[in-house]
Amino acid sequence: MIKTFTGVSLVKSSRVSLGRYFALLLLIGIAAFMAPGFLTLQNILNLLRSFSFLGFISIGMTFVILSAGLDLSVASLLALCSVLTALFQHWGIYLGHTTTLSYIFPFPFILITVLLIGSFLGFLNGIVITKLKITDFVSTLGMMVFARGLAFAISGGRSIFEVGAETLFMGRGMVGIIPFVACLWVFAIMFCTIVLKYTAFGQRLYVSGENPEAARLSGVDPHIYKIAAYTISGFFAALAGVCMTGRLNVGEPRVAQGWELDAIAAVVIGGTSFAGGQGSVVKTILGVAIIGLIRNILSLLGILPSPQQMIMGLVLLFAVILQRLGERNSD
Amino acid sequence: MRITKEKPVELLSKYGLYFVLLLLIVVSAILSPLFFSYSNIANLLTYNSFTGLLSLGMTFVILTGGIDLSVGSMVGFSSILYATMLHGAIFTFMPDNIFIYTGSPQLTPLFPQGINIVVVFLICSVFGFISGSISYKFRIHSFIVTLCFMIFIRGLAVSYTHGQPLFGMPEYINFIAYGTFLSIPMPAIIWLTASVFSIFLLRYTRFGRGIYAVGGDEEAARLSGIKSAIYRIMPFIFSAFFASLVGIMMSGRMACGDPKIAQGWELDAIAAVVIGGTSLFGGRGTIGGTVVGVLIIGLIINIMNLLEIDAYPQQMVKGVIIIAALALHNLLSGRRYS
Amino acid sequence: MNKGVPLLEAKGIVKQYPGVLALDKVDFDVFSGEVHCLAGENGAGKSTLIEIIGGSYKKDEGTIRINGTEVEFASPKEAQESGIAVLHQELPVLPYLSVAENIFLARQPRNKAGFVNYSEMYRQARKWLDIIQADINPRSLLGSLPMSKQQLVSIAKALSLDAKIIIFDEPSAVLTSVELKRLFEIIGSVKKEGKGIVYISHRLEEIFEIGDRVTVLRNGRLVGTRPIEEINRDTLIKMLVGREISEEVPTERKEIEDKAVLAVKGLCRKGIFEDISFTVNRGEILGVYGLVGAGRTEVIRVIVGADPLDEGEIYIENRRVRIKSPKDAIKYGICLAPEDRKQHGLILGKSVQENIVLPSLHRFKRSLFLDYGRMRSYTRKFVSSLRIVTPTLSQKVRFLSGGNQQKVVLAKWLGMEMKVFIFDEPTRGIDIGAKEEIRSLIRKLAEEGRAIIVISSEIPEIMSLSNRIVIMHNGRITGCLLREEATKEKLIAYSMGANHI
Repeated sequence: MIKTFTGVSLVKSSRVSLGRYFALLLLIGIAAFMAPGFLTLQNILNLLRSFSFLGFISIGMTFVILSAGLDLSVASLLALCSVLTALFQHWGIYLGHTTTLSYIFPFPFILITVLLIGSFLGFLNGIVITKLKITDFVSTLGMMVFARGLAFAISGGRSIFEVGAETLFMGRGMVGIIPFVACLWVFAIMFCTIVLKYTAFGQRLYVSGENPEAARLSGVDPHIYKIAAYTISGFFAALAGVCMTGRLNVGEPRVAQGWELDAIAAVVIGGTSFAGGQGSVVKTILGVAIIGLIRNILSLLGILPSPQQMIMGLVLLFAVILQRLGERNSD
Repeated sequence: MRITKEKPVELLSKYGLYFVLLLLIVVSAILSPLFFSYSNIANLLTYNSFTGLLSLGMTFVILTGGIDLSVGSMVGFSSILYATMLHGAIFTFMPDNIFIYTGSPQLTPLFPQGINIVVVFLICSVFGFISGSISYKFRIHSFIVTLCFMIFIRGLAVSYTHGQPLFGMPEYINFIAYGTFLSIPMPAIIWLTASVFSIFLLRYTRFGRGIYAVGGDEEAARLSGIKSAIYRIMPFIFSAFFASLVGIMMSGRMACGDPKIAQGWELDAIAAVVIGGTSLFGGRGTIGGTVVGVLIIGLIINIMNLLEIDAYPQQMVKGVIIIAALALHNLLSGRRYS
Repeated sequence: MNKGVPLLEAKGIVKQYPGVLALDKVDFDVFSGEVHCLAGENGAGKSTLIEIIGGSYKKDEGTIRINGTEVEFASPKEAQESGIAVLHQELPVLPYLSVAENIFLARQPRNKAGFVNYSEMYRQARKWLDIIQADINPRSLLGSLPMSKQQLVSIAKALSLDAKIIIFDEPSAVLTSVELKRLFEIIGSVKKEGKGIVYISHRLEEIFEIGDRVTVLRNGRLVGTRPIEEINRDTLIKMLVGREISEEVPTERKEIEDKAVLAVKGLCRKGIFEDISFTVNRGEILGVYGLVGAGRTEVIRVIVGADPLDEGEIYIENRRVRIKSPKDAIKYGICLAPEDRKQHGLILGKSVQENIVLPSLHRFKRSLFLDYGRMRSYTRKFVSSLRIVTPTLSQKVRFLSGGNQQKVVLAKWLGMEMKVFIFDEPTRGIDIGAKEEIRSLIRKLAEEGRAIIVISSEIPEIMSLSNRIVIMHNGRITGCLLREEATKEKLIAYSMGANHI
């Protein structure tokens, strides 16, 4: 009986994940058919760059969802960090230096400060959730409203134009023929995969996500891992914010509205379970690629943003239903 | 499962909500001598009746352990849908002037007046039914399902007029939005009537008690012979219905159907329900609490306006309030919401 | 024996799950005024049969007759309307609704206008509670009552449903002897009113105490139905397991070194327990007995740092320690095999290996990374020494049997030089055969010189395992007996709160 059950589960679950690869291939096929230049190296590298921004926050979201949480604040944190990156390079704005750049301190320190602020706000999410015992959903909702409000408040609701060469490099620069962000993203993927799979930290994160009480009784403090997951999510949101600022050459409080949903969609389409404890960063990358390609194809079809939104809603819905059916069969 | 006896602090947390409301009223009165004036109270009630109605539907949903993120989109959708129904001509030819405010619009209603509203209610309720059914049937948390619907419905609403508002509303909608009855503003009357109706439904009908039972423990309810499907799905229909009502009222207030309104209102509604003491676990909470929750948020915003705080920092404060309110609840009751 | 048409008659019931035949042509009947016990090991098909009779599951084949009329239940509600009430083991209840509302859920009395009439509902609830002499306020929240009173509310509910057949699904798993005795009295009086009772239990003594007939299932097949006077303990065990085994092996008394490993003094957690002091020595098994709700689990949860301590001192090898979290407890060598294995002891969706290495992950670090090879050989060692039956080390523990799951919980701690092992209901929900295996593992640990605490609600188990027995009542220790002086009567008396006998 045991053997039958697991046998079934193996077949079904592999069929579901195969389905994802198939979907990806299908999308690539459609795109290649519609746009002849699609499969050129140049275009693929460009696509990789366009995936990276959502890709960063999706990595952070994977950690959070693995810890059985949900981070709605990532897009707002991204916007806040974008505004901060630009503001730190226009520190003289208060002294009337509006046209020239005026760094508050050298760029590496700006980068570190912004990353620290992002991580700290993520850490704060974790603290509120674990210590004040408020649901993930509501706490990060509060942070989402708060961080976006802060981004608007410190920029006065205006875009801060022009950033320094270093920031531009982070968003637009090339390493040989490969976009710098894409390099950074791929490095982040590899690093996080190794952390999750081959370190005690990763193992404990999985375990405390799936069953916090059992983890606690085994001497693993699930709160620490939840806080860490949110901190990591905040860190990646900040990193995406810096890169985004460079890409757009503007510090923009309105940037990335609704991206938290895309990130959640990417994680779920990739096959990471909402219940926590099951999934991986590599799966998420699959989800990011699927979402990115769908958007790409819809744009190629000349579909406007709002009908695109409609279609994305349906795609996410079907992905979730399919995942659920897969899980159900394997249980 | 066993719960501990009520401690004094729990009593405080039970009535603390009313205490906070009272405190806010006193603060408002001190800050502004005009607070107790008729126009201020009337305005306060009117402005909050929209969130108020949304949070009624949301209370039903949260009582069954779900959440409905699609209400904001639903408001925008019903607003533009209703305007479209009034401009039936849009289906045969595209009149030039419907995207421009002309003062005295030419209406070409699709159906006789009144029927149009019913059709809007029906279509929106069907959306509620679909999202509720998907969540129930596939056992996917409604958070995800309604998230998809939130994106989908907003996309749908914005798509077909390219985000443009459609101007022109009939007289009686104007009355619903701006009129008064016994010098009480109509939106407030609608909100309070709906609240009383909801309280009654939840307390004195088997259906209402069933909502608490299914939200409390679905298995226990099932073994008592309660079929959970209807209790899981109906709240989403209620929620969609209230959202479409708000959409029509908002159309009246703006004299146009606008697909972009009410962005993020679902969060205000959820915040009000949660501040009102309804557990996100389901099975515990009251409509009375939700009404107080709406008023608390409304008063805080009112006070910030009186203090002339800018809109952006107000948003920040709102974020902090949601968390602070829940933290206070948890500290007082020593219980966990999740 | 009452003959004629049975109240309930199930014939040739077949239930097939993917890959397993849960019930294979099972016959079962209940007559008016009898208690028919249903026995069988876990997985024998008892629950499936009950769920089919109760309308929760659909049968694949067979017929069910109520008073001779064939019925087909599509839902629990239809079964309820036909007079069948199932009192489930885990008692799904609505803790935040009142007692009365739990009784009248979905059929609250209504006034003429069709609205719920609360005063009438409370009045009727009072009436049914009085019938079973339960001192419970119908207005209080159900969740504020202790487990045993919640069970009484369920009985009142069954009576109010005018149930002709009341099915008790292992009530003894949540009640203890005294509460059970009270339940038996109620069952006796209900029986006299001509109702048919189905009583499910693993515990032989209960079956002999209360049953009129007993039906035994094994592996989904009917082994037989016998009047209780025709069988004895041994024949029943033989029917249950298909072979003769002795259920209890008495402990060989050996000298315990007088060397305290764990000592607690004056432990107190406000409102739950107070003034708890005891010592466990090297190589000793300390049994903790008490009614459900006596505070046994709560005490050990404090010792392992799962819950905070209000007052009191904990000593490990005569050194005072402060335990703030399970992590601290593990550091001092105290570990727990919790009562709720699936929720608290294991990560069901993770593999055998991942579960076993979980508490000792830090030992497998090679610089920053984990050494998978060493983790595998470590796991393999325990899988073979404890004889854990699993196809591979990467099998998810969800798919293991109860006994093997318990062994995985044990394996987590074995490689970590723990000094104190605490077992909370170590054999609950485990097959009779596997139970003895777990017990002998516990004895072996003691022989190796560990200090052991065993909590159990089964008197025979606690008597066969322990060197000493501490008895708790209502959050206090009421007695401490050596194995030689302990008798069933004494344990029950102390657990009821008697301080002197």
